[in-house]
Amino acid sequence: MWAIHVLNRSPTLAVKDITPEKAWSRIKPSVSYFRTFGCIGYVYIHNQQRRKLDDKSTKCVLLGVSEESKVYKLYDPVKKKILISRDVKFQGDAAWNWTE
Amino acid sequence: MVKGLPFFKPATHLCEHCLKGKHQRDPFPRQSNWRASQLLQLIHSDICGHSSPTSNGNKRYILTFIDDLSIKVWVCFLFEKSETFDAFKKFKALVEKQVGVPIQILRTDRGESTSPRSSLNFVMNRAFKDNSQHHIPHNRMVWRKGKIKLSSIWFRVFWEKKEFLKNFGHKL
Repeated sequence: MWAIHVLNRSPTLAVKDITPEKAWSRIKPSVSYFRTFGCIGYVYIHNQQRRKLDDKSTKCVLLGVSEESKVYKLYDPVKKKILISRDVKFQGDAAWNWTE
Repeated sequence: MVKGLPFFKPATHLCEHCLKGKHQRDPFPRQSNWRASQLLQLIHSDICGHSSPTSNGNKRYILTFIDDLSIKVWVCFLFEKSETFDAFKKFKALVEKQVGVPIQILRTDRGESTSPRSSLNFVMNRAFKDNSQHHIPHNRMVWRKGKIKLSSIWFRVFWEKKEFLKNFGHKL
C-alpha cells in the first residue's frame, strides 16, 4: 500500500512531466509527510490514556499512511498492534532491531 | 519431366481461411495504438498469485487496477481469486464517485490468472466494450509498469516475510 502510494506520487515515463496522482486529481500532491518505510516513530500517548509516571510515547515502526484520513499508520512490535496517529516524532535513520 | 511423379491437378478453388491459417502471424504490437484521453476511459487490470508464503494478513493474491491516462495504480490484496469481482465492484464505486464518469473499458489479459469463477471476465465481456483481440495488453508501457509495481510490492509483502521466517522461524 505504501509502495503504491509513493509510486503514484513519483514521476513516470508514461505520463509526461507530471505524477500519476496529479494526472488523476489535478492537484499537485504533497510529499512533505513522506518518511522511510519501516523507520522508527514515537507515537504520543494522550494524557487521558496515561498516568503521571507512564511513558509519554510508544516506540513503533512506520507502515504508511491511512487510506481514510491524513494520519500515519504504525505497528507496535511489543504489543503487536497497529496504531493510527498524527502525533508522531520520526527517527528517519533508525530501524527496529527484529533480532531481539 | 520426372518419372514416377503422380499428376497433380492445380487447385481450382482458393480457400481464404486456409490461406490465412498458413500465414505467419503478425507480432503483438509493442505499443498501444491509442492512449486514453479521459480519466477512466481505459482501465488495465491484472491479478498476481497464488503466492507462498502468504502476506502477514494471510493474503495470497494481488489485484491491480491501472488507469490508462494517469497511470495511477490501485491495489487490492485478496485471500481468494473469487473475491476479484467484489474488489472490482468496490473499486468501480470508488473511482466513479471520484471522477463522476463511468468506466468505459476494462482490459485484462484474459489469462488463466483471472479465473472464470471470478466473474471479472464475464463483466468485461458483457458490460464493457473492448475490441482488443490479443491476450497480452496492448499498452506495453502500462503492462511493464504493472509488472514493476507488482514486483516491488511482492518484495515488500512476501520476500520480507520469507526472510523474517528464515531468520526467526525457529524461534516462533
